[in-house]
Amino acid sequence: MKKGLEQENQLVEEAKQDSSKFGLLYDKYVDQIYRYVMRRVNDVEVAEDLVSQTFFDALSHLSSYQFKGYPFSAWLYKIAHNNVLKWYRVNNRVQKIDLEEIAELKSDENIVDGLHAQSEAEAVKAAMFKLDPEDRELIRLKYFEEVSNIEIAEIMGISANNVGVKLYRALKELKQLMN
Amino acid sequence: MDRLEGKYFENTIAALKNLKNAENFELNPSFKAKLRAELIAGTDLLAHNTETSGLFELVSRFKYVFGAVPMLAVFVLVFAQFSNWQVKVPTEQIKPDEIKSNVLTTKEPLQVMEVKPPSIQTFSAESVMPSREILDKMWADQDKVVELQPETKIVEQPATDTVKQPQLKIKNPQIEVSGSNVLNNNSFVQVTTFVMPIDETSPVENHTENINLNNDSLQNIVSAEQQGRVEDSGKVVESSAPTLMMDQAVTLPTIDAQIVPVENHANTTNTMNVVVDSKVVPVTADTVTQKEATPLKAIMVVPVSLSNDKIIYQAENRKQVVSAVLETFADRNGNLSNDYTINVAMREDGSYKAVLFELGRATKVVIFTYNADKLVVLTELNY
Repeated sequence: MKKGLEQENQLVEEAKQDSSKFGLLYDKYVDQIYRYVMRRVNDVEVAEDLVSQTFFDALSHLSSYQFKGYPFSAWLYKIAHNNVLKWYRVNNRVQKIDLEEIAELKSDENIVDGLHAQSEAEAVKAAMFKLDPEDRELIRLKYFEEVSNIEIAEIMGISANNVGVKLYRALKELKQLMN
Repeated sequence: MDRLEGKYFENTIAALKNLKNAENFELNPSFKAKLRAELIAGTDLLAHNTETSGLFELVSRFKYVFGAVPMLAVFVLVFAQFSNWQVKVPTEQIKPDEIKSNVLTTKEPLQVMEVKPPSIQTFSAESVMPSREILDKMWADQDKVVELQPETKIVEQPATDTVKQPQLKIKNPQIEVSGSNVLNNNSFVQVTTFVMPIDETSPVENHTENINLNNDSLQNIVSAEQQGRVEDSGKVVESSAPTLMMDQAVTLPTIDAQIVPVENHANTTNTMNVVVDSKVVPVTADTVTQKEATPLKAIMVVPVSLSNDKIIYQAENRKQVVSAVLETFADRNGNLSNDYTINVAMREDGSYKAVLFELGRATKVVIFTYNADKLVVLTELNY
């Protein structure tokens, strides 16, 4: 793991000197960032714009990046997180449940397992959108993006210990909402 | 984290993972390639934009400074305008008291206090005499007083063995000229001495004696130099003629002193000799007889009562009102501090000169005339 981080950091340092090397970092993380943004905004076009903005921001501020022992993705998640917040702030919008997506989800299920999976997915989604935005972001980063608590703390600007406490409370509330 | 991985949240976490697996967010490959190409191609453009943005950052960093410059200029202009404004105060609104100076006027104090005692007539100083002459005359009076200062010498007390007297405490002997009568040439000095024994249970003796005086040179008694001074405390002051024409030597007050009675001279009545210590040899002054006495020209005016704006003195067995003499020295209750004394002397032209002393130092001079129960303040001088 440490070796992988060192190699990644070496790549970042090379990208600082040679911008063409940034393409390698882009190839590695673009899908991951896109899914993260897509889960937040539920809009393909908006997600593409935000992904584009995120990587352009990363490229323009690459010289200011400092390796702190986290993966480069944590820095990209943080930029994407800020861009999503800015987008919500500028457009004065709230996150909504994509009913069409739920409908597609329903249609894809088979008859036997479908009923259970459908009801479970609906319950989880509905419960997720009832959560506090910060709690929802914690759960997404933890269980969808599979980011460590330290990275979550770096992305969201809170302490690592606080991440564990808040995550426990968010899961507890989510469970109550699902039941 | 262990709690999160426990069985309590097992179903919840499993549901979240199922939801994640059910998601199908695939980035459009064409968009992905296009974005990559833009990123690589836009590297040079970004470099240019970085230089441009650096300039904009510099400008934006100092934007508040740029904004503050015109604001500062406006403030300077406004301040300059205000500083050029002239403040005009109508002269009729300026009270005489506000421009109080050493210029001698007679009406101003009474006008300021808005007190018009019926027994006092006020005249302008110009109508009486020119102000310059008043000043010259006053200073001449002052000089005259200085010239008339008696030669006083302090006699050191020799150490002599005498019979030990019982220890007594003398509280400051109060020597005051209670009154005088110019008309019949009768004057007296009232000497009050409080004798306090060591034994506190014993009653305090209070000796008050009137000493008749009839001497022209007695005016020196009211001069400032005759006031008891702290540094002279405990010493015998020998007065030579023509100052105190009494057969007595007066000791300035001390805390612990002894009274030594001395023999009275035949030509003088009611004499008293107070010395500080029993070891002191009494010193006597020249004797004064009634024949040698001349009409009294100096009196000491004793304050009888005070009010906020005037002071009433007992002089010549009458009540006189001297306004504005002590207006700044009496408190709101009209009480005069012990630090202040006032001496009044008759001048050659028949007017009176009241000198206010603060701790033995002359601070104010008021010249007034007294005629037919009416007192007229001619002028006053502060210094």
